[in-house]
Amino acid sequence: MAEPVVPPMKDPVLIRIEDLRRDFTVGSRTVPALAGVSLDIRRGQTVAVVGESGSGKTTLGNQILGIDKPTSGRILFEGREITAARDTDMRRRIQVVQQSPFTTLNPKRSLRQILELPIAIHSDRTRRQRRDRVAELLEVVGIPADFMERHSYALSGGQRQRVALARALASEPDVIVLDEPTSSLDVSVQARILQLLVELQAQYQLTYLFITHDLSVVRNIADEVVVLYRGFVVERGATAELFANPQHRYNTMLLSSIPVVSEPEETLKPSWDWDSAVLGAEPPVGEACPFLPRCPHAVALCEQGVPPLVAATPTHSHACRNPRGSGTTNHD
Amino acid sequence: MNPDSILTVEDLHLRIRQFEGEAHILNGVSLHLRAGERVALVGESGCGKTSTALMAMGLMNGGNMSVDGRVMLEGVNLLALGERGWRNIRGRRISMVFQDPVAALNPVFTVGDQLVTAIRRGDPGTSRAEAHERAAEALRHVHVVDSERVLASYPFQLSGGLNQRILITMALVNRPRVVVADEPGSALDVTVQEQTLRLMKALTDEVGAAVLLITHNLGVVRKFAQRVYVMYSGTIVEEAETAQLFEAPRHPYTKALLAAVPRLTGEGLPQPIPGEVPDYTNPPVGCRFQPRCPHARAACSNPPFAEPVPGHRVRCVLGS
Repeated sequence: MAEPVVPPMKDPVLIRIEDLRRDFTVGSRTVPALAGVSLDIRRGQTVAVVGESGSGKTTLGNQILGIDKPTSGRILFEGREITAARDTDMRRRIQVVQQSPFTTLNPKRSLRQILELPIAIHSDRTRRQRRDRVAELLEVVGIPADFMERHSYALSGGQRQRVALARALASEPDVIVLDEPTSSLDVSVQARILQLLVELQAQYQLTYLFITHDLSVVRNIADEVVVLYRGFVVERGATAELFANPQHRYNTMLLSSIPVVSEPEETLKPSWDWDSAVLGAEPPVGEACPFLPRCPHAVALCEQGVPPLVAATPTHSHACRNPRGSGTTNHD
Repeated sequence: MNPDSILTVEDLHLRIRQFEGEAHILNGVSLHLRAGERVALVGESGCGKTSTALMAMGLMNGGNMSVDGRVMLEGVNLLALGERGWRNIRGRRISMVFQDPVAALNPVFTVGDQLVTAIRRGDPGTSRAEAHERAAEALRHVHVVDSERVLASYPFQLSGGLNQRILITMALVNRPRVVVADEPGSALDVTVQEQTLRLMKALTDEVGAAVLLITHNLGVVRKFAQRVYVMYSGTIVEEAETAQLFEAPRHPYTKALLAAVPRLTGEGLPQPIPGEVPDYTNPPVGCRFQPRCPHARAACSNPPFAEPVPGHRVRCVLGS
């Protein structure tokens, strides 16, 4: 590989996730939303979690936020275990921005009320100080401070998402879980929110867990990408590497389906044989790799389950028995 | 306008009276589809693309609306049709694929009931048994393996991708001349969206139906359409063959929109478009993009619809 052998990620690990499992019971079946996920998130990085609906990406975000508890496994923050319980200060340090700014802001509250709540909980500011802080937060996200007494329904989608960001910033967090923060916005508005996210990250040394299904956004904002498929990490790596040289067949399919707007981008996409792509996404049988029913490249070994992650390079690994780079198939 | 076109929208105006005043939602929209042609209408939320689609389907009417212009389907002005007239057209000559397949199907009837109804609507002489057989055949044709089980299922028991397939099947089962597709697959994952678009392409080709694709996603346009209309604030600002539009966009809004799309080449963050979409109750006179346009000038109050290259038209003073 032409990529540097020295791992570029030498920032300290902020969040360590160890073999996290979360089972949900659906009828009489047990469905693993997370089937043993391990992950290090380094301070100041943007880690993108991609995958289709049902892949477990929001469940992973909820585990990090402490909204939901795992069935097994551990979550460590600066080496301290936070899996079972976390104090107010811990909650202060990990915040969230959710997908739809139309449903995550209380329509009965003014922007001031929305933003004052986390300030009141996480600091001992006086009423006047809280008000000043609200004004400051609004300015930081590019909303005039005199909008303070307005309600969210008077704002556009982009403005609402700015308010949601201001609310996340109110407690001065270290980490923000961004769960599809721009997918309900138009591209012209999305571009502004992405710029704001990058500026805020630099200004406040923020660490982002960026949950999304938009791979073109990921390509331009993430340091590292984690590809989830039905609760398994099937591939992860430094962004440029993972896009340039996809290994797992699911990641290959995913990258080849990105709608792009120019020929140079088209040539970067891996090829995928859509005619042979198997249609019904039936749940896997037994221990088999969950992608098996849709995979035209499956080999006999795939019946035996998802293999452990294998390093293709020091900064890129995958969990595929017949990866794209292996050359054992004529479909590439 | 165009002799070989099958669907023609001519100078369509839609005004809606609201509390704030009268909103001029569609400001003289003209477009056409030739038989079998795949045409995209692209723009951001609130630009009027879905209103245009709903007008073409006769699904946009209300006491607070006033409409001018014509929508001609094979010589018939759809805007002059009553509900009775529409019954012979909607679902038979022109049909629609909606964005959210689960919401578009009725949750209290099985997929089979709904497909059979659609088939018998198009061909009233068909018996229920024959219609059921045709429904099963149509599903097998779109690679639904277990067609009998699917027909007996309710929409919420099936995946989004499967529902989308059913909706497309339903829209095409009566072999319409025109299909209006509003963001098909955009509520689904990218891999399923890709398969949905491929299926739409294959099926409409086979039936010979023209497609009006409504979307905000330029990548989907490039993948699917042969010709494109770009819409901004109720106005068509540019139209061209797809390849031509992506290689040489001319309207400042089209250029700005393309620059706002994140690129797979990883050249960094995309460029936002400054400013806001104008207020429809009090829009700028002439080009509605001028408050946000770096090239705005006095002449923008009356922009020409120039045709610098045959088939490539642009509503801009810089157009030619």
